[in-house]
Parts: sequence; C-alpha cells; structure tokens
Amino acid sequence: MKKRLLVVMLVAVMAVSLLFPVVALAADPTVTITVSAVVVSITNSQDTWAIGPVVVDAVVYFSADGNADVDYSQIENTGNVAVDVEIQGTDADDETYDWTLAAAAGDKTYSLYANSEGAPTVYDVEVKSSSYVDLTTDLAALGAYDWSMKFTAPTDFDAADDGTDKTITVTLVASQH
Amino acid sequence: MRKLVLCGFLAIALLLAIPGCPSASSGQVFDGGAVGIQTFDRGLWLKGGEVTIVNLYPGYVGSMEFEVGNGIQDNTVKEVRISVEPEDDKDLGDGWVQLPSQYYSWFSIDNPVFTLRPGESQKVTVTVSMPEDADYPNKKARCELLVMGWTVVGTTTNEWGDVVNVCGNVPIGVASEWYIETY
Repeated sequence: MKKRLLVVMLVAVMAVSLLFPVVALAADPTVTITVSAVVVSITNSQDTWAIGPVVVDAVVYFSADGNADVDYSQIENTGNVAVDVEIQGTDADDETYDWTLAAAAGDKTYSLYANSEGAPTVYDVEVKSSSYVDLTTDLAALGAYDWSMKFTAPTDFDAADDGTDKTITVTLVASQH
Repeated sequence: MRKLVLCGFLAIALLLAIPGCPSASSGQVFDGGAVGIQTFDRGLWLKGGEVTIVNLYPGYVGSMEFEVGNGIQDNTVKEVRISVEPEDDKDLGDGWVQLPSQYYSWFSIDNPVFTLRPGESQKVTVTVSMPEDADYPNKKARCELLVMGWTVVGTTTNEWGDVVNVCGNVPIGVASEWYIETY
C-alpha cells in the first residue's frame, strides 16, 4: 500500500514538473560599494555676516565694520585631500518683500560678489542663488584661502521694506578636487 | 529726499538666519564625550569623500557608512543637516549624467539632522534601496551627499515659546561625490 502511494506521488511530481518546466533564473550581479577613506574638511573663520541698515545703492563689504575692503575671512582645508570650494547665495528674504539676487543691483534686486585671493579690490566671482559657482579650486590639504564679499543694495525698493529684517544665506561647500 | 530718509531706516539683519538653522530634537543632541576620528581637529569634516556603486540592480538593498565630525579647536557647536543633492561639478565626466532627482528616494539617511559639539563625531548610515520596478538600466549617474554645518551663534525663543538655536548665515558644507553605475 505504501509503495503504491509512493509511486503515485512520484508520478504526480513528474507530471507537475512536465507542466511547469524549471526556469533557470539569472543570478543577481554582484554590487560593489566603495566608500573612500578620504576626509573632506574645511573651516571658514567668519560664519556670520551682519550687514546692518542700508540705503539704496549702498555698498557693504564682508568685514568687521562693513567698510574695509580687505580679505576678511579665511577658508582652511583641514582634510587630507585637495578640495574645490564653491559658493552660493540666496535672495534676501523676509517672507513678504524679497530682494532678488542678480548680477547687477536694480529695483528690489541686490548683487553679491566674492573676490579672488590676493586681489581684494577685484570682486570677480558672481554669487548666484540658482547654482554653486567656484570660489577656489584645488585647494591643497592644509592650504588656506583668504576671501571676502561685496554687497550692493537695490537701486530702489518699496517703502514697505522700511524697517524689515531680511535674511541672506551664503553657503560654502567643499568637495574632493 | 523723502525716499532717502525712509530708506535710511531700513534695517536688514542678515545676522539672524533663523529659518535656515536646522532644529535638532533633543533626542538627536549628543552629549557624550568626543568619539570617532580625532585627527581632524579643526572644521567640519566628512569621512567618505567619494563613493562608487557598481552594478546597482532593481531589488538591491545595501548600506554604506560615513562619519561626520566637528573639530574641537574651533570651539563651536554645529547643527548638521545631511541630504542627497545633485552633483555640482560642471564637468560630470565622459558618459556620466546627473542622477534624476526622482531617484534620490533610493537613498535613505538614518540620521539626517543632529548637533555636534566641539570634538564630537557621528556615524551616518545611508541605505541604498533600488526598487524592484526601477527602470534605469546601464546608466552612469552622479549625485552627492551634502553635509551642511551651521554654526550655532546663540539662542532665541520662537513664536511657540520654544528655545531654539540661532545659526550664522555663512554655513559651510562638505560633500561626498557619488558615482553610480546601474545594471
């Protein structure tokens, strides 16, 4: 009786196998994830810029008193690899009356430029809100970069802006060169 | 003249970048001693400056670990915010494209916002999970892990009466550049 049962089961298994032939599944590829031991690290000596009250067409420098046209801040590469440092700004935001960041100051539009090291009177890096731009490239490990910024207020703005506080954020990002 | 006088009273306080200052819950503030790498004793640092992922296929799940630290010598507290962002290199390299932003959801960060005191570091795990139905084969794509560090310069009370950090408006960031090849 047991033998007959085994034979029936065996035949059933074979029948099922014929109905559903084995499909050889392709093996998943080997995924390789490599996280480098590179350490990207920077400092920036001035982490705050208080521009203070401004009038139309005002020019304010990133310095202790806003007037000095000097390399005020210093970026240091404290990591173990050369880095590129990029900069990005934002519109001047008070959630109601924004000033747009643009290449040139205008009506409710301000401009912001950073300077190249060694040329404090030449502000040749246009800071944009839409994208990062290079501030310095290939800054060697343990290297330093002196820099500053020049803010130019709008040529005109609404009286509604009077007395309102606006926030600008200027971001520096370092990545491996 | 009248306009000039009016404008003279306009004050833009760029000092207080409160909206941009990420707020860490109390559970994400680490109050232990300095841990992790001690070599990089200045600045905001990220261990894992470059990542390559090869043969990423639909259904794959894996993880990778990074470490973020705050140099002890700077003596500043930093609010840290981590996100996956477009690669900002203008030259992505021959054959490489930006990873479309809709695929950033393949990467989840276990601890994207936290606070680091001077000398502290924090391990961060990023889980890679490519959906079974993902249709992005044989691509070479780039993106980056951006670690932003906002220096805490004080505290203030918000409109709900909570004491929150005030951060400087010139934050620094460090990025890990990712190179992803799909299968």
